[in-house]
Amino acid sequence: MKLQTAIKILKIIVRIGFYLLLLFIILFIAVSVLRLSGGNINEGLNISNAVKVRSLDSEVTGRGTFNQQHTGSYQQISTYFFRPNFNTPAGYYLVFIRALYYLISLSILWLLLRTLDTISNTAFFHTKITRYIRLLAFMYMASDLLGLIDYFVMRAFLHQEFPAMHFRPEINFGEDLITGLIIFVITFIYARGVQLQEEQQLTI
Amino acid sequence: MPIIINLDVMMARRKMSLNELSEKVGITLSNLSILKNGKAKAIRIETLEAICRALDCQPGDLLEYAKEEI
Repeated sequence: MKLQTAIKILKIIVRIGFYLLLLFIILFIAVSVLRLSGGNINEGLNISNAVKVRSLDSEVTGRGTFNQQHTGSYQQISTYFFRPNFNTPAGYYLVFIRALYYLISLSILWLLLRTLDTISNTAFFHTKITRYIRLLAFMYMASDLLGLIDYFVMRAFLHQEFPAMHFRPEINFGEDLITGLIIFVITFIYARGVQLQEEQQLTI
Repeated sequence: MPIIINLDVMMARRKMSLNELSEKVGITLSNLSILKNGKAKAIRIETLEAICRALDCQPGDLLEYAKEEI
């Protein structure tokens, strides 16, 4: 497949994804504002009011189940969904953090779109693209760091609401941070490409 | 930049315009302009050879090294 064709297809896919996400964010904000103003929203539109949490059986009951030799134990991990009431600090926080996540995702798609637009219209190596890729890396890293902050804040809320259950929110920390770091390293390589292209253009 | 390109001096001596030189050497006007204004980062040997042939001069007539004052 030719590069230009691949770029065109990617642009279409990313553009569709961008506008779908934008639509979703608008819907999310509209529902959140309606709920804030005390409106009665159909539960089917309750798109962001749940957090997946886990509870370790041993922390609730005070024990795991050991084998006869006491060389190991097993315990159940139960999965729940924590749904704070909307007009509570936990509810407001959930809306706020979800909005931040969606905005980061939208920024990532927008940067990708700008990168693809710049590649097709001008030279392949361009200082603008270096800037976009660097921002993309920061967005990925910010997403993971936000997840980490979210974990501790949500854990505090869970402990406050259900202290006996020892709930822990689910966390996937590290994947986006590593992705961001890899993209960041690629930025340096790309910037060198821009330099080489400039030198090549100024070689008579 | 320590290397000065005296292309305009040689062109004046040979009474040749940039257009004429561009046609003789086979380089675009914009590239010759980059060379003339000292913005070029590098010059190919074959380009230097073509310019020297067109202007009937030596590479030393075109290139001059001036020490940078500290």
